[in-house]
Amino acid sequence: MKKSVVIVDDSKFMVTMLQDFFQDVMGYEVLATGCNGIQAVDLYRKHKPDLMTLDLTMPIKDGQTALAEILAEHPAARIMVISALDGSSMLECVKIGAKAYIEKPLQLDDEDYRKDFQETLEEAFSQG
Amino acid sequence: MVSPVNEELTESYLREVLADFEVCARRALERMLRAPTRCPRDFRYLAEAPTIPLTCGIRTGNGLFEAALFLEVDRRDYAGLLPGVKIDGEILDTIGEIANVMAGSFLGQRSFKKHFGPMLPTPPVFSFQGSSLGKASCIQGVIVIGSAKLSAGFMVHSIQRDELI
Repeated sequence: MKKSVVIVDDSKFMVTMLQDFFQDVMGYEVLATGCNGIQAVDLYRKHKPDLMTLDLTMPIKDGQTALAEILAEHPAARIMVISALDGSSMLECVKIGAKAYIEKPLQLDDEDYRKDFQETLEEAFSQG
Repeated sequence: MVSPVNEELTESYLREVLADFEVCARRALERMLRAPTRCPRDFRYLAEAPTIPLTCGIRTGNGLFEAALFLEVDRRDYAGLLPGVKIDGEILDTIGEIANVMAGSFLGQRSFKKHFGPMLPTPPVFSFQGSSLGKASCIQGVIVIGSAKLSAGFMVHSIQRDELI
């Protein structure tokens, strides 16, 4: 059975790149996409995907607030933060409960990078 | 802990992060568009940020500074930047994401945080009316990628005590 993913990022460019990668390379089913934190919370509640990718810098409601809200309601949610922010933001998200943190820019057409990305995904799933 | 600063210190801080800004800006472009970049001349410090026909801006700041990263691309260069993409909205979206990656990378630099303190970027905004931060000073440079030319800059001004009251 295919794993499912919901992708949330305010950049259409990023959503398309991630959608293509998860569908075509990873064999996931992309259940929905969103572009802000409010949609992230609503889409998680609606779909309960195996994985959600979440950007941090987004309009209306930022990703870190959405992450905390989703995990308060669904403590087992697997959320992978994908953001250009590093350092303290990364630590805070991991503290809140993100299963993985990937820094932008993604280089999914680079084979080594893709392997690392896949390993990070596997680790996120092995955490339960 | 960053202390209140005057404009002279702001200039000195900006000059110290100039090289890091160029590295972050070029790296973001090269990694996202998978193409090499070059700069026709060195990035430079400007005592007064120009009023620019801003394409994309990312505002940021903290209690001591108000700042913005900007990325300007002439509409005639859109095709050179993203060959094959014909919809302006998609091109602007990509420019916004490039600016987002530049900002995340630059604001995360140790040299930046040492002088200016932590700042978080806002989502990109687009404007064609011209924009500046008033009395801001600026670092700026031109980057060529493919057949497109972009202007990348970071403007900042210290917030005076009376502005905080």
